[in-house]
Amino acid sequence: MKKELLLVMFLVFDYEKLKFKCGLEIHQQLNTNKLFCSCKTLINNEYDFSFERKLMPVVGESGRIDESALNEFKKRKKMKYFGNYETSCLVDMDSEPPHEINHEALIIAIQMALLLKMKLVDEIQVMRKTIIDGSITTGFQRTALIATNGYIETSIGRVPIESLVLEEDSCRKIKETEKEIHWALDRQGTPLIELMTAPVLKTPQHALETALKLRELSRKLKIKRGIGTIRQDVNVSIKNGARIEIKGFQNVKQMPKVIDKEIQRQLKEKKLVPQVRVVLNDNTTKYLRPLSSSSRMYPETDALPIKITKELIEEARRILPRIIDVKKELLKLGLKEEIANQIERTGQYEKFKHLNARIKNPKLVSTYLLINKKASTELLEKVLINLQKKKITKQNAKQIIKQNINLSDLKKFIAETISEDDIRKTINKILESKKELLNDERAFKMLMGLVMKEFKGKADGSLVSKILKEEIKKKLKSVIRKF
Amino acid sequence: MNKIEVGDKIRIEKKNMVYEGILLPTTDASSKNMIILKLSSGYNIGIKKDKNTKITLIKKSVFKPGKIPKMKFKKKSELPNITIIGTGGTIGTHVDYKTGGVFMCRTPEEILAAVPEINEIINIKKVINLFNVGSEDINKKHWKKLAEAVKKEIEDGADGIIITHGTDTLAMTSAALNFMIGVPPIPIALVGAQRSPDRGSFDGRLNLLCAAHYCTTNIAEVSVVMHGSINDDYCYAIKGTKVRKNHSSRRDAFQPINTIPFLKIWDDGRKEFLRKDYHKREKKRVELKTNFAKVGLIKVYQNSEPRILEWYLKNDYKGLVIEGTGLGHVPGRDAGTKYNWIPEIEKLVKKGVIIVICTSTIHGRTNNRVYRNLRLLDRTGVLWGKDLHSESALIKLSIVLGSAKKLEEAKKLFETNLVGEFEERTLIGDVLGF
Ligand SMILES: [Zn+2]
Repeated sequence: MKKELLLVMFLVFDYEKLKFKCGLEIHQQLNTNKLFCSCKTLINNEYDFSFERKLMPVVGESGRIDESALNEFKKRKKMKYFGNYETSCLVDMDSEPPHEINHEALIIAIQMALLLKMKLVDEIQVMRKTIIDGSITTGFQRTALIATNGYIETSIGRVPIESLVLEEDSCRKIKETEKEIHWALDRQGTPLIELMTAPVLKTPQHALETALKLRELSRKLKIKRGIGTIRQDVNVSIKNGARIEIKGFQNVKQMPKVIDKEIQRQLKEKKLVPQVRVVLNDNTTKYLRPLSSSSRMYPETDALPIKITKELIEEARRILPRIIDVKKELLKLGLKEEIANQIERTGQYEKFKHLNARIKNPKLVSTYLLINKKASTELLEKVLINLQKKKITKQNAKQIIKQNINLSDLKKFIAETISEDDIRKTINKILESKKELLNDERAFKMLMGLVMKEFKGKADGSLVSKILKEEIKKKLKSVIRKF
Repeated sequence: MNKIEVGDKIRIEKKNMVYEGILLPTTDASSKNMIILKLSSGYNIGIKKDKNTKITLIKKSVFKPGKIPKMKFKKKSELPNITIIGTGGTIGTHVDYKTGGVFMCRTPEEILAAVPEINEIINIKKVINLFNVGSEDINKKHWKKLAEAVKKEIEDGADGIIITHGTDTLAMTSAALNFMIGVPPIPIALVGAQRSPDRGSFDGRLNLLCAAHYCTTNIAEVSVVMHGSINDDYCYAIKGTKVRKNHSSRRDAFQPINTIPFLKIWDDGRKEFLRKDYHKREKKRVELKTNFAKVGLIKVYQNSEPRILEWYLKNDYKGLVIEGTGLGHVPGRDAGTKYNWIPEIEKLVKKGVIIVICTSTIHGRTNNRVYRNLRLLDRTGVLWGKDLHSESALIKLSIVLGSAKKLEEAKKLFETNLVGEFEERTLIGDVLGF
């Protein structure tokens, strides 16, 4: 009910009447080594070497580099590349042929295709997509179509996924001056999965929903997380408008607002030309460049075609179910869906499994596990064991995990905690001296306050409350018996 | 019903999938029964044909395979007249962007289409498509043909010659050419590429431009002109007999061996002359030596058996270059009778085989006396490669044996400094090593 109300509030436009046409193009980095060499894919701003290159325009089908292209080339900025040994080798420097395609990345791409119920091609042909802005040392991006014709379910029906492409990322631009562009090699060659939806998204909200669903799905796989690891671009047009590509969403949640503002802009603008626009902080967009005509693609002759064999698909499937079942397993243990999602999303299933094997209390484990992703398994285990033995207070346990303290410092907290026996003794002492309070209906609350004050936070509240209740009961019973 | 051919737009139906695209030629890299299709997105994919695959023609011949672009040259009489000779190699490969096919056949005009600025440096006198052979397949027949073409162009008044060649054996061809034609009267540059011309990062561009600049100088030498660094900034012109490909894939793979390059050249024409002792342009006749005798190259190593020498003798080899260790050692008496090379070498020398000792270290010169084993080896009558690396020594040995009438004459010729291949002094230079 509430949700629908919100939707109405956002629906400023009649998208159907506007002939709203919208599709998504998502680039997601995989968490593996590089696609065509064994370099790590880390962002590392310390450089071991640098070099310069001149990328030239390539001869066109017409047979000539035309004069203007040549003049443009002569005026071009110097391209300077910076690399370090951990993340860049001769392959990245365009000084060694590509190695065999990264098997792990290929498997992840196939898994993604399976999750999206796509049709895999029989043989992958690696292509070269010409790129001569300097962002790739070779002058082209290696890219391969893996699968077509899939779909993802959304609240308003299936959204077709037209293609899944596995390709290499480009360099990071680290500096641009009037004369030079500096590029960091570390990102170049990082495997990317590119997903394209059909342009059938019904509303901006639907675009967001689809983007989120795709993100959630891809998070089941070994992908990179964090800033800059996913790029979600939107293609949008309306009746009498032009195809506009919107790039650079800092946060996917901006999507509906940005699209609506773009529609507003398109309605106002008299002459619309296809173009690429970039998202600004206030959810508006700025012209970036004209929409490039499809870039030239030709085969990467240094890479052999890859047959997608039954074995490859089986291998992908073999690893896949384990990943998919995580949520099911968690739900089976009686956890709430939201909690199960959180454990899965933060990638802590293995940690959870390990802890629960010892603690045997899924609810308890999940509660403390989700406090701090960075807390070590050993620390969590020790804290939870002590918590179960009531040797540590809940408050302290939470604090310890939040701060991810050293294991050696844990003793302090345990030592300071008062044991169950001592608690009982102290409670009885107080009950003896405050007998009159037992007749008051607010007895428990008042006594609890007194007792806790006595313990100065060193006793577990729930334990104290439990013992206090027990002892009050005993005392009352003995009083009744007396009379 | 029309037959379906490469270039046709077709529809493939398989299970419940339909693909539409242009049929491409299948390469030997693909698996059996694979249909290669170019989709409208530009991507190629392979679809396996089985008995349930239905293929229908949508449209005949949507495109014809692309033509290889060619450069049209402008005559510029004020510039030096340079002849360009193509022999094959990566620098001469071309990808047809439409079909995606790779051709090994490009004429020099086609190569030059990737470097149109070259016409601002030189006037292209003539373009000769001499042959089109991958570097590894070049042999003495090709060398002879090349030397003859070079001689003819010199006599026809060329001011310089640029030869494009595959990189793997480019340094061997440059040495062979130098020994075949002697010191040339004009600059001659050999160039190649480690990256093909279809890509933006084509390294042959800089090499060709720098070779053109080299040909405008007064350096009448056979030189290899290739990248001097990992940057696309300058090339070195290195003496053809003293250069080696020392890396399988880097663009700066060509290094001077026991020499200093003649020239450092930037693509904008800036030049730095690194030495003065080069031969200058002069009018002179070129005498060719194109007879190659049968020679072999052997490397000694731990546990290597000298018995292999018998095979060379039996198979009529006239000369052998042996890569010794360090200063030119071969295993001696202390290695054990079975592994002692010195008596076996002596046997061959006595039978009239010329044996030249070089070093497996590539850089540095041999020595015939500082250790006892070197002195013993020297006494067998071997010749010493001195500062000549083994591949160059091999080619020189082959040519001197092929052109001399008598053994003693061949030995004398080998020891003679024919084209500047021996340098008296080995210098330390910043261009040694990576
Ligand atoms: Zn690498």
